[in-house]
Amino acid sequence: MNLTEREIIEKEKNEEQDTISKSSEQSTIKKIISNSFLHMAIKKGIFYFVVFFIAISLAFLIPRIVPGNLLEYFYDARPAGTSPEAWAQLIAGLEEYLGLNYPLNIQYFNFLRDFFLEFKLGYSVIYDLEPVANLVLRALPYTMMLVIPVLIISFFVGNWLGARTGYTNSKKDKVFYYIFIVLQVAPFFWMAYVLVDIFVLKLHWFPWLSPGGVPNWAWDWDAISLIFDNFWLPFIILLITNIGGWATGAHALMTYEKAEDYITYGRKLGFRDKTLRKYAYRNSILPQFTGLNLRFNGLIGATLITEIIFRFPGLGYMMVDAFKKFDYALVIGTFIVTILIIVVGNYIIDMCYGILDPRIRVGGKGEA
Amino acid sequence: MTKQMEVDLKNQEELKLNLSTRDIIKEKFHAAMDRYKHQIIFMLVFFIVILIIVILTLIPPFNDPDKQYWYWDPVVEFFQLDNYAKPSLEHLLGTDQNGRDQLTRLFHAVRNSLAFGLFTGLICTGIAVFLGVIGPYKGGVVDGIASFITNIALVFPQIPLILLMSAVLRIRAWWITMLVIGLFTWSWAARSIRSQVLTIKERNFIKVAKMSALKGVRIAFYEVLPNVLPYVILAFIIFLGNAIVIEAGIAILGVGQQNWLTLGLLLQDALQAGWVQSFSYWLWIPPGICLILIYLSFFMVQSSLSQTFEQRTS
Repeated sequence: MNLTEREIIEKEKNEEQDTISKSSEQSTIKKIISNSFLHMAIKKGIFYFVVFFIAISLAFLIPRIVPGNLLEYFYDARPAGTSPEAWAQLIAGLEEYLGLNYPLNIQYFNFLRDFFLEFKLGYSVIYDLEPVANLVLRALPYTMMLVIPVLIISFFVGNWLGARTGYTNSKKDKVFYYIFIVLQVAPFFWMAYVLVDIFVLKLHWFPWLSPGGVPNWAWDWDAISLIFDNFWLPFIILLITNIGGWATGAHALMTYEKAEDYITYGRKLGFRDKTLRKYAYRNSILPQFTGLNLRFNGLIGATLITEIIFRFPGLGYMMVDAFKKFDYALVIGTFIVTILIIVVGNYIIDMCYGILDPRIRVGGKGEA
Repeated sequence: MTKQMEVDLKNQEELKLNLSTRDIIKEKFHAAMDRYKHQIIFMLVFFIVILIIVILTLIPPFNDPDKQYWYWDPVVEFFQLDNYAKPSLEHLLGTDQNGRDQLTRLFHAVRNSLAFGLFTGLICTGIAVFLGVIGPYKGGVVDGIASFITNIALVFPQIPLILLMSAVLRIRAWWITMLVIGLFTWSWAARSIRSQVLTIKERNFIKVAKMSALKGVRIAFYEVLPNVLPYVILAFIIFLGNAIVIEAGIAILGVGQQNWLTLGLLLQDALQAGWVQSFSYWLWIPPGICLILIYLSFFMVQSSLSQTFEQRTS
C-alpha cells in the first residue's frame, strides 16, 4: 500500500515538473496570451459591458421618469407669427419623428436596438435634427486630445518627480512636496481663473474666447493653430493638477520603499544612489497603476468641467450647451459616449495591469 | 532590586493612591499632547476659526449677505450703487456687481459650503458603511449583491453622471444636489470598510458573540462597527472635502443648487458676471483660497489621523 501511494505521489510530481518545463519552453508572446490572461480579458469584458449597460439604461430612464416632457421647452418657445394649433401639430410631428409617443418599454427596446445595431443616438433638436452620433463624433477628438496626453505625461512626470523628491527627502524636496499637495488639493476650475488672469489678460499670450469659437478640425494651418491656441491653457491646468496628485502618491510610496532592506543592503554594498533610486522607483511605481483607473475617471470629469470653462468644444461643452438649450437627445448622447470612453479606457488599463503584474491575472479568475 | 521591580512598586503605590478622575484626565491629556501635539493644535485652530466664522455670520454687520451698499455721489447729487468697490476699510474685500459686501458673502459661503459637505459626507458615509458592513455579515446573495454594486460604482463615471442628473432634474434645490453627489461618490470607502470588516470578522471576540447566539445584524453594527470606526471617520473627512469641491465644480457650470450661497456660487459669478475679465481680482481670489484652505485642512486632518491609527494598530 505504502509503496503504491509513494509511486503515485512521485508520478504526480514528475507530471507537475513536466508541465512547468513545458510552459517555460513557450515563447514570451504565448506566455502573455496564456489561458489566465484570456480568462481575465473575458471576465473583465463582461463586467465592463454590464457597467456600460446599466449606465445607458440610467441615461435612458432618468430623463423620462422625472416630471415634465422632454419637449416641454418647445411648448413655450412658440414663434410670434404661428398659431397655437399649428405649433402643437408641429410638436406632435416632432414627437413622432423622435419616437417619443410610444410606451416606455417599446421606447427602451428601440433605443437599445438603434444604439447597438446602428450606433444611432437620436436627433439633435438645436442642430436642425442632425444625428447626435455625428455631432458627438465631431466633439470626441477635442476631449481625447486633452485626456490622453494629460494621462500619459502626468503619470510619468508626476511619478518621477514624486519618487525623486521622496528618495532624497531633503529640505528642498520638502518644499516641492508641499507644492505638490497644494497642486493636488487646489480646485482646478479656480486655477483656470488664475492662469487666464495671468496668461490671457495680463500677458496676452493666448486668445480669450476667440470670436468664431474653436473651428472644426481640418488639415489647414490656420485651423490647427487656432485650435492649439485654445488647447494649451486647459491642457496645462489638467496637467499640473494631475502631476500634483501623482507626485504626492509617489512621494509617500517612495518613503516606504526607501526603508526596505534591499536598499540598505545595496547602500552597504556601495551602489550609487542613482542606481538604487532606479530600483526603488521601479518597485514603487507598481501600486500607482491600481490608482490609474480612479484617476482616469476623475480626469474625464475634470476635463468636462475644464472644457466648459474654456469653451473648448469637446463633450463637456456640448453637454452643458445642449442642456442649456433643452436638447435632451444631445445631452444623453454625449453622456453615453463619455461612459463609452471611460469603460473602454478602464478596460485597457486593466489589461495593461494584467500584462505588467501576473498576480492580477490569477486573481482575475476568482472575481470580476 | 531590578528596574522592573522598581516600576512595579511604583505602579502599586499609584494604585493605592486612588487617583481622582480629574488627575487621570489630566495625565491622559498630557500623554496625548506629548504624542499628537501638532495634530491637536491644528484641529483646535481649525475648529476655532470655523466657530468664529459661524458666529460672525449670525451677528451684524455680517448677518445679511444680500444687503446692498449705496454711497452719496456729489456730482449727480444722488445715491449711487457702490458696486465693484475696491478693498477698503469699509469693505475689506470690496463689493460685487450688485453692491454687496464680499466679506459677508464669503463668510456665509464658507459656512454653507461646510454645512453642505457635512450633510453630503453623512449620506456618503451612511451608504458606504451600510454596504461595507452588511455584505460580509449576511453573506451569500446579499454579499454578492453588495460587492457587485460596490464594484460597479467604483468604475462608474461620477462627474458625468452628476452633471447629467443635475442637468436633467431641473429643480435647483439644495437637497437634490446633495443627494446626487452623495449617491455617486461613496464607492471606494465601501470597499475599504468591507476589507477591514472581513479581517475583524475572524477575531475571537466575534466568535464569542456568535456563540452567544446574537443576531448577525446586531454583531455587525454593535461589535464590528466600533472597531472599524477610525476608517469610517477617515472616509467621512475625505467625503466632506470632496463634496465641497465637487459642489463648487458643478455650481460654476450653473447646474448646481441655487438656494444656498456656497463658495461654488461665488466662483460661478466670476464667470457669469465677468469678474475675471474686469480684473476684479479681489472678488474671485478669496473664495478660491478659502476652498484650497478648507480642502487642505481636511487633507491634513485625514493624513494625520491615518498616521495615528496606523501607530495604534501596529
